[in-house]
Amino acid sequence: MEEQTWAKALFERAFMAIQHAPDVGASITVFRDAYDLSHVTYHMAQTIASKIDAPFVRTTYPATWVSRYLLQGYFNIDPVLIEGVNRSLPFFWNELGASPAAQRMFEDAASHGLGASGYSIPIVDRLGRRALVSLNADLKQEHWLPKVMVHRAHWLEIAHLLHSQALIELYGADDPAPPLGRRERECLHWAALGKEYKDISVILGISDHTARGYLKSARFKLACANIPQAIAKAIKLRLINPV
Amino acid sequence: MFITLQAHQYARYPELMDRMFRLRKEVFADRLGWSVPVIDGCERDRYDDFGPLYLVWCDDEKKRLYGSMRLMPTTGPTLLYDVFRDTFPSDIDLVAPGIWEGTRMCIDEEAIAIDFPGLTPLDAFYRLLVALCECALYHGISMMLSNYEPPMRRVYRRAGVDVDELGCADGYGRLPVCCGLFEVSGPVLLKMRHATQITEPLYTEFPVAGRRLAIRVAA
Repeated sequence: MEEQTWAKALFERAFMAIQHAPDVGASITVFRDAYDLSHVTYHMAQTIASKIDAPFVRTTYPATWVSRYLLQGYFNIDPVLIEGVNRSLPFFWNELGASPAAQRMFEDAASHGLGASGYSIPIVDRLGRRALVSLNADLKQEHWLPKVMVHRAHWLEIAHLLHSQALIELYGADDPAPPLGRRERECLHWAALGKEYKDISVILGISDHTARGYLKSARFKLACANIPQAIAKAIKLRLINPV
Repeated sequence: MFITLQAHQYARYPELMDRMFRLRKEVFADRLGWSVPVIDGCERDRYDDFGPLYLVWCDDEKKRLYGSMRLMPTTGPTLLYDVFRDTFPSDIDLVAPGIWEGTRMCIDEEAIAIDFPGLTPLDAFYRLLVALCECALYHGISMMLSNYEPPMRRVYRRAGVDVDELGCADGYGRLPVCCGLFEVSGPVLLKMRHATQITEPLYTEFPVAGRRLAIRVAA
């Protein structure tokens, strides 16, 4: 993949800023501003009933729209939400089959200052909990589509970061030292010693893309924006000890 | 045609869903002898209850099934980790957005022989593999973790697929079951097209306007 350097730099800046944000509410604002979006919403669909029975939602939508949405009962017809939590793949809002009622909701949304285009990212975690991160932009679809395509892999990672932050906010502190597998630790070890994917794959007798896979997985488990950050965190947590 | 079915669409295609679970029973329980749960002639397990994505090969009316596969993100519950964790846990615990697992890949050889008399089962597998690569590439999936029996290695190699075998385990069926990591990229798709001579796009469920752009960005 030909990684566009500016997009990667923007992602790393945004990811780290979100990591330092005090809560999900602050994170979504950082996310919105970093990518010049109109609105960002994080919605956890299933929460553990005994602890909290209302859905966990954080949004940058104006309060007038949120109360209108609730009062009109739009959550009963909103196709983004209804379909979104059942989907596995990220989707554009214009792919949704909108009923006449949903059509009216979108028109009402526009009159409350919401953008014309949207993209939503469904999330499912290891325990099967589902969440939806929705991005709203004041762009026509023909401009929105290329923007999404450039950033979608990064937005997917940010969406997962928001989810892990929401879990911490709801259920308390995260495990500081995630269980890394043997291969993940080996790949990080060699990366820490300055080896590239190609060298690592030769040393470990695995293919180039597999070395990339293990490093990506290690980076995700450590919740880091890039490999150097993941190496630093792994050393600090004594998961690797490169010398 | 090759389409994807997600949880919100299952109810719209009852014939395809029903036939898929029956085909899986015929292939995995009857033919390969895997110890998979079978109820009322259907093979279904708990991962089907999580609302996974299915890649489905069917006719244009979306009623007759030729093949299918189940796709799930590794960030969620996954079969391969649960099944293989006793044999080679640290090597297959790959978790990241963009890495998905593919399981229960199968084709209906009888239906294919009737509707596509010129297509051998091997050709049919090639088509499913190319469609899978297109589908994954289009949706931003960069790697796939998948299980298969050793005879499939030759099929993958001849289809130009780039697979790294992470391990094999006995005790699930008559043959060992292996787990491999597959790269998904523009160059891999080109290599597959060259090896299989399948040059036309197969995966049809995405908007045509987005197709070229997505492939270009993903490549």
